[in-house]
Amino acid sequence: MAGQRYVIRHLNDITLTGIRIFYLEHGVHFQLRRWAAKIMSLLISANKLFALTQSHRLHNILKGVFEVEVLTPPNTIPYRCEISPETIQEALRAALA
Amino acid sequence: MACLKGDSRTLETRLYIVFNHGNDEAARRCPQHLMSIFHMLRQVPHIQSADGSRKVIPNELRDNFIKICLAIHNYSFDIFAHRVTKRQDKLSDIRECIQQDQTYFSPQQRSTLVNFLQHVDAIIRDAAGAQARKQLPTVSVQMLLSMYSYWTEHNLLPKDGVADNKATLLDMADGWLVKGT
Repeated sequence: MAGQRYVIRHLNDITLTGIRIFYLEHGVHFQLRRWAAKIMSLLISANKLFALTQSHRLHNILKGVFEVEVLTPPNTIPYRCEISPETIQEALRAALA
Repeated sequence: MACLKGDSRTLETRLYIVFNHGNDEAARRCPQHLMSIFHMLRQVPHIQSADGSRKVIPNELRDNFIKICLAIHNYSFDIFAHRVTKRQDKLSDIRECIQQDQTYFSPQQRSTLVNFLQHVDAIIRDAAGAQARKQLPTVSVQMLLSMYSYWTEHNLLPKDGVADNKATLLDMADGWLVKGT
């Protein structure tokens, strides 16, 4: 009995009760805005590229010569980034020391 | 990372881009894809705007914009089709919920949301129709552009793309749906 009470209180505390009820009733597990942005990501990307062509600074660069050269992938990982709470804390301590 | 290298007359900018993909077909097509994008960008005329910034695509550059879209899209149809059709089974349920609402949304907002869902339905049908050619025709990209304009003008999506965190009508709808109507 005590265990059941604990579970219910836990759900309320993290305010997921409403979401869970909705999931059960409607089965919608996604956000409309996120879906809309993903559908239109093609146009959003094109818009950003188009803005480059109208930039005064970048205009001359775009008129230059472009060459694409494929480099061979490195045999080893060039760098490793670990962002665990411990390493972030350590980095903060080192920065503030 | 970029560096400048000067010889007698020119400056060279080297831009190193790291792609996170394997040694597959996508990787092999990447250089050609990049060149086609650059080619498109070079063809867009530069039109001076009064304040140096341009948020709206002028009519005379609309065709150039469509070509940029096609240049991107020709290499990413499968991703586009996947994104579009991923949630299609929920579309009619959501539309029904919104149409049944009487109090939360204003009639104008409800109408805008229903239009949005009709647009999505049309995009899904268009993507399904283009599966065989793996490419949307120009007229479909023009339709997408019209819909995107509608979505931004009616505050369904922010005008400045995904980076803008301003709350939109779709955020309002998401909040309403989560509360369980």
